[in-house]
Amino acid sequence: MLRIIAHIASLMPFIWMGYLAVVGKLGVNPVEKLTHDTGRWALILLLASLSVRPLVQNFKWKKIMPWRRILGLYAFFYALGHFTIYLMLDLSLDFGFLWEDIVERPYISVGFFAWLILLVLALTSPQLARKRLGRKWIALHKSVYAAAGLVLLHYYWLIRADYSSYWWYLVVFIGLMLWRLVLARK
Amino acid sequence: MARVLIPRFQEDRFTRGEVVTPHGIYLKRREFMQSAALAFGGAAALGLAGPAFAEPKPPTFDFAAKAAASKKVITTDEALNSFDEITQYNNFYELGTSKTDPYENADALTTSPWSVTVEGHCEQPGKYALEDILKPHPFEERIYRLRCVEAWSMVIPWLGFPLADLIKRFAPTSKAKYVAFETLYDPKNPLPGQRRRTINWPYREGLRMDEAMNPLTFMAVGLYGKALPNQNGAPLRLVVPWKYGFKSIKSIVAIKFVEKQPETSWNQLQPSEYGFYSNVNPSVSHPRWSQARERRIGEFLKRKTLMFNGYENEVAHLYKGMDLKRNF
Repeated sequence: MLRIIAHIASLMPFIWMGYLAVVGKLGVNPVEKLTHDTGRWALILLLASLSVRPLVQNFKWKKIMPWRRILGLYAFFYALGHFTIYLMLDLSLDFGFLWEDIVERPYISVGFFAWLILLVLALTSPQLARKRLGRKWIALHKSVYAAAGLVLLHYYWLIRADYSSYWWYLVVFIGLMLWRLVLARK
Repeated sequence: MARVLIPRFQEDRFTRGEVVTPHGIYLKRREFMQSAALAFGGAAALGLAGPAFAEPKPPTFDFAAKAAASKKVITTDEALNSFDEITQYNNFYELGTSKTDPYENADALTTSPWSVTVEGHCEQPGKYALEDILKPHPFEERIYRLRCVEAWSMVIPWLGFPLADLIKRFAPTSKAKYVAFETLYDPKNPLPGQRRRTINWPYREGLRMDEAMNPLTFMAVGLYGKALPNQNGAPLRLVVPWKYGFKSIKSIVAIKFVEKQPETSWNQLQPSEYGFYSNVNPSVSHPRWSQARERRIGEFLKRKTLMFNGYENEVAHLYKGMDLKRNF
């Protein structure tokens, strides 16, 4: 039951975007709207996934532990949509343009690198991979923090003047990192 | 739904100007608006709807007549962007930083009464009422491409007159090397977006004198044959089609003739990213993103950006001998 809640909650933005697309209410620049929305939800779900363990530990609510994996996979789901829209509609599927962007534009470089991390984590998320990788799996999956940091950098480098909503994401991320540091010391 | 049907014009200032533009989309839109007005008016008569269309007040200014008589100047045969696209996707930080904020907060801007202060090195400085600014100028309709620094673009039918004609009336002296402009800012009564200092208000822009006097440089008072909607910079805005959109300052309250290159808002905010010139140039990237391609609003894939936004023949001579990579 708890798992289903996580699935439904994670799919809501996707269903909403699909609805807006069908009724033609994505606004004047639908490509930009979808790019921004998929990016934002990838970030939100990534931070939500990182919040699961602190919640479990502080509130002794072990039942929600599976949410970490579910939310993390949906974060990649939105990141995949984000990257696909960019590759198909911004770059017209031209891999030369992609390479140029990755090499020359720092915000693309860090965004792409974060995406690669999430890709690897998603691919190694099944139980089978976990068993095979053993201890390495834990080390590998700690890179999710690096991915979140890179995503925030990617976002920061895109803003022209208005950082007002950015700070909220940053505060949550810093809070989560501090929590990890405190925990590591104990 | 009703909100979409109600045009957001400043109806009290001008009567609705209507020109006949032989353009399919435009005419279709007018028919749609008229039938929508009829439907809406009918509903109002039955007491079903809220406020009906405001009846145009007696004309205080011959906007409609001038719009009707406007000469049409076409610089591109590309398809026009729709009225909705042009008026519901704007960068006008005074009304908010998101693309839809200006449309949603348009009512916060009051354009009546309006005056423009003219000062600096000129023989006719003073504070001019908007009517006096506009009166001597016959209107033209100009179809221009607009390229935003964010790599999207539109094709817009502006209504207005050449800036050069206005500048000549103020008789700038030989000391006037630049023209500086300012947007409305009342610290006691800020617009919704001006409550935060995203920009060092008021918004400032400027042109070199020869850029300002170029025949392409335009003072817009309307679009699609009608008075400018607030979110597009009513009642008076600059249009410099070969420069990134932010150079085309909106809702102008001050024009200054100055000797030195004036401070401009985006340049002040981020000098490494936004130069004074900001000419559209596909080969000079913004430090963070490419300017080689752009998304025309209404299209899915990006298209190539043209040098000087396609106005190379008209303006390239202004920058002869200049290093456009350094003077970006």
